Amino acid sequence: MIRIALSRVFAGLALSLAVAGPALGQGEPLELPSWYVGPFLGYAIPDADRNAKSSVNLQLIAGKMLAESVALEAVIFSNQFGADGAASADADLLGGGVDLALGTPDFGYPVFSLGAGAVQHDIGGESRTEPYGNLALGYYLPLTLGGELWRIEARYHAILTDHPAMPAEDVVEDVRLSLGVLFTFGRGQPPPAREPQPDSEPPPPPAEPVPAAEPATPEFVDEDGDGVPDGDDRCPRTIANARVDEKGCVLPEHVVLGQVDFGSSSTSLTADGYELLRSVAAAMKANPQMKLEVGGHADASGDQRANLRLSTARARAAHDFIVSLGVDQRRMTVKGYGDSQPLNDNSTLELRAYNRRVQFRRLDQP
Amino acid sequence: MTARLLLALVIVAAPLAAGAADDLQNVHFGSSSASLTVKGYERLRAVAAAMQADPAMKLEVGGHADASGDAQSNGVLATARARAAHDFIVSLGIDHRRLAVRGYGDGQPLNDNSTLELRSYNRRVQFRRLD
Repeated sequence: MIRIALSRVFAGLALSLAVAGPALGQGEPLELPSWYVGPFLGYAIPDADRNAKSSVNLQLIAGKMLAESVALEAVIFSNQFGADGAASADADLLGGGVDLALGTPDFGYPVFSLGAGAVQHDIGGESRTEPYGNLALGYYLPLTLGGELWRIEARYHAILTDHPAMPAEDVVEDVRLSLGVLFTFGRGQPPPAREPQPDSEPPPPPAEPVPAAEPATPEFVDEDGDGVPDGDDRCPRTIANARVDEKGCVLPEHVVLGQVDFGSSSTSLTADGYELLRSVAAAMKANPQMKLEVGGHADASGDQRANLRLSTARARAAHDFIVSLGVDQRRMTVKGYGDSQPLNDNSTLELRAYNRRVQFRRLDQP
Repeated sequence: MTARLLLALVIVAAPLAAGAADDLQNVHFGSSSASLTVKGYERLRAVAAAMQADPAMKLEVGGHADASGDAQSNGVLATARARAAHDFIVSLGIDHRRLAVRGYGDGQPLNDNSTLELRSYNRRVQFRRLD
């Protein structure tokens, strides 16, 4: 048993080193959480020596970042393996330990953890406290609803047992497969601060130097050109050529959900992007039914995993700005598509620019 | 609110007084990036079309950076942005002698740099007629 355990450890290490290299666009600030916590639910497969049935795995992980891709994680878990046949007994495990987690806690990244702890090992009513070691391979899914991380993982777990119900000097090897949601705290760059002003006041004019006609006719300033003067315009930055109601807001059925575009390897919004997102937020406020998928896309330069992360980060940036304007985050889902859905082929720099985008899809209507 | 409006008008009027070309819209960039976006390509195609329609037109292509980062790297970034815009216009068949490239660093912001959004307006390539 021990020999098998060691070979698995080395296989796990080799695999994780092969996939763990961070792949990131140049010059992008990392917005990693400083710590995270959340529950995991899954399936626990007992060692054959237990003669027991599979169990539900309950697990809680709290992590504290030590460096960009190193975290210290506290793990608590509980398994209750039912007896399988007359010769066996129920096994209840309640354990806790500490892991070193290597991997960037961000969308699309793998994580490898290695650690140890103690488990209260109860077989057939007889309880022992015993040491265990474990290692896990996980993956942060490229999706989020509001900034939280979703992680799937396979965890191999070895208890050094001298429990009388188990064969002498054995290592009991259980495997746990689970999905967890991790709530993050202390991300590096918070979204732009909301200004403390009443909802009715229009957003601060970002003072674009065009169009030129504005200063000449201050009695009828209509910055967005929708025919409603800015003084009466509840939505002063609607998209060009959109049909608006008497308050200057886009009629919900005529919302043109344009695309937010990005520079190569960049997740940073441009001035045009901010303008479009303001009009999307205004449309969502005017139509409380509206729900959106915020889908991020990357062009084909760079490797696929980096593009997955890049596209998710673009969608997140757009999502965060809309939320900062006062739209309920539950009305949007964030999804990264990587480079899988190009609008154009990637043959020239210009064509590629069309593929770097955040695109909206309505979820409340076909 | 009034003060903000006044400030906005001043900011809008100042580049006009300085001779900014009226129908040549600014090209915007992501933070730390000199890579053109779709809107940027569209606007540069419009600039090239205007130059083709008016053979006398000469332009300064001025690159600007926001205030994040140090002044020296912002100088490099601003010039790289202007260079990227210049190169695309030239690739559309405009004689490069009709364009002058200049990087302004972060010295000529359009907005104060207090929020991420306001900062985005300062990351730009802006055109000025030289003829």
